[in-house]
Amino acid sequence: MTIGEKFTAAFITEDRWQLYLKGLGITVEIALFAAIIGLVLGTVLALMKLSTTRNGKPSLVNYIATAYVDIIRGTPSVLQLLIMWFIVLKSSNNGVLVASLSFGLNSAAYVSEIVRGGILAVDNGQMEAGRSLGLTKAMTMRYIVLPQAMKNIIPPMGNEFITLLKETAIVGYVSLNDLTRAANLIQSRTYEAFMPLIGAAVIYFAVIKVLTLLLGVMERRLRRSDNR
Amino acid sequence: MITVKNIVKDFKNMDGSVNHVLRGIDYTIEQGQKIVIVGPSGGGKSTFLRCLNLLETPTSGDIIFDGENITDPKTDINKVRQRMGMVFQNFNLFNNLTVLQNLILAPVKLKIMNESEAKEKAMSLLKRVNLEDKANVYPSSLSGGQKQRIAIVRSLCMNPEVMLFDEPTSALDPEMVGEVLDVMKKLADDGMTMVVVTHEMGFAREVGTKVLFMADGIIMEENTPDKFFTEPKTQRLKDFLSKVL
Amino acid sequence: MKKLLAAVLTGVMCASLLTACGGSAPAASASTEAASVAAAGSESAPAEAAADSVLNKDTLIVGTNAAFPPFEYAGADGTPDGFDIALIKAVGEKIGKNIEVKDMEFDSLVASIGNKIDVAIAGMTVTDERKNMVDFSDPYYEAVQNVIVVKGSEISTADDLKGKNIGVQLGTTGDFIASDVEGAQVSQYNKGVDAVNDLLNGRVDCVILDTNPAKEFVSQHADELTALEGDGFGFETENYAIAMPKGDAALVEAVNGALKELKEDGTFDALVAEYINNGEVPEAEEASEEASTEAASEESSEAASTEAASTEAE
Repeated sequence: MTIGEKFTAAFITEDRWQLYLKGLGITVEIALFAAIIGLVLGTVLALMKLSTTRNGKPSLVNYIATAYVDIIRGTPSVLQLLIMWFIVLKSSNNGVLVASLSFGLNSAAYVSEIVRGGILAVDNGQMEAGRSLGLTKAMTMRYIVLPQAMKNIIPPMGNEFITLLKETAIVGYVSLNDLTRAANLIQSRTYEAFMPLIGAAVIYFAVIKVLTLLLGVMERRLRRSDNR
Repeated sequence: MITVKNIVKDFKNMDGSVNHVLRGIDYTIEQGQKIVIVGPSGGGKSTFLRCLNLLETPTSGDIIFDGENITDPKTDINKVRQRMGMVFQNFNLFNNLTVLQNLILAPVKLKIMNESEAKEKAMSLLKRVNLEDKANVYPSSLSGGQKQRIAIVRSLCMNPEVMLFDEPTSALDPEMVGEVLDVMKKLADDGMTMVVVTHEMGFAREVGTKVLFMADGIIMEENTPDKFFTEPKTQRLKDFLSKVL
Repeated sequence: MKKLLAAVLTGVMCASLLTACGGSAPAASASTEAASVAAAGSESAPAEAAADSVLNKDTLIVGTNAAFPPFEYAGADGTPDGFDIALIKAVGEKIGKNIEVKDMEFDSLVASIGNKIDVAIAGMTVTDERKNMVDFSDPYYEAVQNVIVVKGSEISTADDLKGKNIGVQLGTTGDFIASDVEGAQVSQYNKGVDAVNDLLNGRVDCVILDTNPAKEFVSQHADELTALEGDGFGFETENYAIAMPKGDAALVEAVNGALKELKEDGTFDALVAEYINNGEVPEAEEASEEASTEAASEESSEAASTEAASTEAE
């Protein structure tokens, strides 16, 4: 086959370009839902990890959160996905939901470290000032510390999202037709690997490049607002 | 008003050894008194002050505030703190909020006042420290002296019964120390009960009801300001005064 | 990497001459001249092998997808085993080549021939599309697709498949059939067993798989599943064959010769008997002899045939 024929077979024949597009849609959908789950649960985990008892010792929830993060970080995400798909949520028919949940639970472990770091980077004096006025720890966290921690959290969160977007490439294992799977599928039809694989890689790269640029803009804005 | 009974505070070092910061402090602060605490750094002054509103939990001992033992775990410490203002060396204004938001956050969120009452009070207090034009700016655009005056006002917005000052002028450029001390003096004249940790001997002499000398985790000497500076009893205080005066 | 290199080279040369690169070092330096000789020679089938024929190597690298019992599956030691593996080893013996088996995804087998692997044996059906990319040996096995359903399912004809969620293994004949069913949603899995698991989980309505693996999987869940013959669905009979690099006439000829000999001398039938038809017989014997406690019914058939194979290999 000439390179032109290969291109046609990989993208044009039977409107195959639609498969990549749909695949990208699934990829983005899973990554987005997972990021939301990861952000919410990750923040909760971070707060759990930072919690102490009255006399400053680590509390029970602290141990639970630490164990969770340990387990998630200590096992491959593809196994977590398979366990979620074939065991935990085997009665669910919503593949995107199962995958989102699996990646969200995974991402939460990493997000919790980002959030924890972001919170610890906020001067402890802010917490003390809030407490000295009689505000509870939770109130001070919510109104004072977390808003300031956001500045430290947003840039690494962007990187986490990019990582997440790429990690979803394994959902083909559970028969979801994401972008990578679309390339596999077309390869299985054309018996030609170059075009579909390189094509998918280019699409991933383009999307992530755009995200990276947006992140850069956002980071610069955040830095500027430091001087307000 | 505040009675401290045999307060001990130990810090565990990283290597497991124990640092005895407070070695048993007994003291009583009466309503309206201005207690000024001086002494060498590392002597336990700040730790003692921070124990009074339990920012540090004493290892042992009791603190009775207005008849209530606040070291009792059953005490709602947040309620107690609402009645004790605190001013920090590093101001600790909330960086994400404007000056006015800094002032009204606690009164409003703790439902002590509604928002308009809180704003009214905040603005009138800001006027007293001549900073009403700064109500809507963020702390990062203020000078150190302005920040500390606003930090004092933030505490006052809670109508505290006692004010704790933890080296309020130590982080200031020299030319700004005066404006902060002026506000503190005004407060003292209004009859506020105050506990002040400071290196400003002039302030101690002028404003203090009693001056305490803390070193090695104990109150080594206590006296009225005039006698404290003119008739020091211990050699430690004599040495200290010869260095700072 | 080599695969990518090969693909780039092909593109650059704008040639349909990608014959066996052989995966060896001189692959890139194999002159276009030699390649064209091989391509031209494929019509007249010369007896001696072309310069870049796989036949010039001592070892044939054989690709398979060890998730297709009884033709190929992971043996007791984790390496691929099964009818196809035994068959290609027998072929290797006949043509004097060592056999090295590589386990990979089924959907990438065809694209890997000529770079990652020399030939593929994986219960692969001969199709026109595949013929565009590779040459096939003479067929060695006839099969038809089966439709696996949960017992009591309403699915029994081709019409019933319309609009259903059908599980398949990616790139297999079942995948191609399912993808053509009107309104059907096709879930492609890396392995047939994953599709069957999701049938049990209720995520798909049926699974289309080749007869023998379908029977194999159903036998493990005999209470819940049943395999319907493809005739009722109008599926055509297909032929399994060994896939080889396009244009390597000498190799095709040698392999076909070996297959013929194996059929004539009874080896082929013995393998069919051992791996396919009598799968249950050795299971019963072996289980009672050696693994009475361990032989969980689910894996005993595989384990038993594996044992039989390894015994035979020695």
